[in-house]
Amino acid sequence: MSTMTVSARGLAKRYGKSVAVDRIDFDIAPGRIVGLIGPNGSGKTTTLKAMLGLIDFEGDMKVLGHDPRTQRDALMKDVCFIADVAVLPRWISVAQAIDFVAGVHPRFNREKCQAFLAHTKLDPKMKVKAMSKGMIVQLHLALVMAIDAKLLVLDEPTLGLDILYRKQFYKDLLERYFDEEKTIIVTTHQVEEIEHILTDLVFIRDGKLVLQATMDDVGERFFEVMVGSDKAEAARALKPIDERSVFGKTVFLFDGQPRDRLAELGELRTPGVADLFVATMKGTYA
Amino acid sequence: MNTFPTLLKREFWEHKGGMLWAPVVVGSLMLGAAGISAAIGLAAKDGDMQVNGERIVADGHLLTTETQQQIADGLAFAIIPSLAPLAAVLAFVVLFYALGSLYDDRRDRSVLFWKSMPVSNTATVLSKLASMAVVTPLITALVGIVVGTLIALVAAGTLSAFGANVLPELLTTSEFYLAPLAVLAVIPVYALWVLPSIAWCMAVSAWAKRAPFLWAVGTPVLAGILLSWQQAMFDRDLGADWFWENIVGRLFGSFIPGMWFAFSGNAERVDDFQPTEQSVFELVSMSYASLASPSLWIGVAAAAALVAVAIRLRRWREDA
Repeated sequence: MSTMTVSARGLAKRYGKSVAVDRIDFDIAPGRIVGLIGPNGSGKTTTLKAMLGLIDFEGDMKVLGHDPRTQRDALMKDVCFIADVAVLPRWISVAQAIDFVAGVHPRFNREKCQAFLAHTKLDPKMKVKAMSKGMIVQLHLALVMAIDAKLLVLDEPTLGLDILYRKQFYKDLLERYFDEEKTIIVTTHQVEEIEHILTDLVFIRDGKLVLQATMDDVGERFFEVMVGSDKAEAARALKPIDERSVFGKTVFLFDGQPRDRLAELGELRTPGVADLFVATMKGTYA
Repeated sequence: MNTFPTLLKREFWEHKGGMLWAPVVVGSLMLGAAGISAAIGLAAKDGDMQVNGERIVADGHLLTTETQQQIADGLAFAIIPSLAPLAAVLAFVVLFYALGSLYDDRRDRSVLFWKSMPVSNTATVLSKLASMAVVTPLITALVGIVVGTLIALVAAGTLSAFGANVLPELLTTSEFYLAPLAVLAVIPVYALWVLPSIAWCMAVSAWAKRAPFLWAVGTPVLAGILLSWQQAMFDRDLGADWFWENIVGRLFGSFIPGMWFAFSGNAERVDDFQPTEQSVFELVSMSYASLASPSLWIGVAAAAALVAVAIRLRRWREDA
């Protein structure tokens, strides 16, 4: 268990009477990129905040061997997070932000940060209040990527950015930051844009984990089949978790049905994370 | 990596307006006003001239030519009281700095960025406290020393134009050089007196969901009003006067440098104060004498408790 980056047992968080996170267990191994996906108010951010020692919680959790409640100061040497866009203070300039992180963080590499910023339009005198959302996130990412942390937590890091910034963000993350010793946990609503970089998938709904799988598992467990109307009834008999109509045919989504049996119904496809998500979360807001 | 100096630098970047520009601007205005007064005095050369409320020139003649040295001493000493506008600026800057210190970054959510760094909440809170109690007064004092010295020189120059050349006396009087040191010397006294006031505002700032000003100022004032009201209505003294003086007055009066004379019970001595050759020394020693007052140490103890509360709130406040 100590080799795990994050390990939680019976993690729970209540706000008054409402339960935000309902006794969940999970382990995250080093070198993984985990997508924590859930609808609004499902407990994603609460889980991340607990992990980062920003809130109190019930149950046990170890992050890099530390209890986030009592060993937060030590933990923050090895953990970085981008809570969401635009949390950088508005008065700070690029140069000041770099000086500050260099002054307080033992694992910060100034050259690396400046090298990354050289690829952007940011100049050292520019203040955050004069930046666009996309530029703020570039600065934040530059600061974070220059820190040799073991765990990076990203909570909706690209919310409100245009698609160019979003693509660039994940590209930089993957090409310039990620390696086998690092772990990244990311939440986002733009699932389609990150599914190709994820190694693990966690779905959370109403404070409970409803899916916990590696992307390889997902490929073996879930299938999407496009079925003509003649075989639709046969498909329904296999209890698909979702169905939708496309050009007069029906696309069924199956969980854990044997591959050969489904192949008889039509052409198999690995479903996209977004479709999987929608199928799993059906009725959330109903 | 040197965390605490970096945190102090961070405070200065954020509060440059209050810490540096406010005293610089007000100091420049004071110099401007002194210059204008001097110019008017010079233009009407046959008029009276007053320095620090004392009529020293009448009908174009120095009243007491043989006491030029005394006038020079007075001018040198006047450096200290002439800084009153800067003291007022300091009081406002520190008050609003403290009220926003643990609130503003929660409101704009940048607290999440600060908390993503390996800096303990204790270090964060203490760096803000040090910035307010020591660094901000120090910068104001340095600006004040420059402004006060220049004003004394302008006044001496103006007197010279009236035929009373006190400039050599001013430059050779020891007070002229001691007054700036005295201004620096009372900074620790200010810091100790203002500590509970800052700590109270910081604790409220760390706790309030909104409007920290209303909570920090409104709560003690409302409590005082209630006490006074019940005293007036029911004619029973629950200590309303004591509360106004020792809680409300002490809490917000301490932001003003020099108020320690009032709180430590030697206000009368200050009222009767006559500038003499030793007056700068006396002022400093009276300031340090105020440290013997129980009010000061009760305040320091309260400050320690409030700072501990602020640190705890900073750590666990969940609304960020």
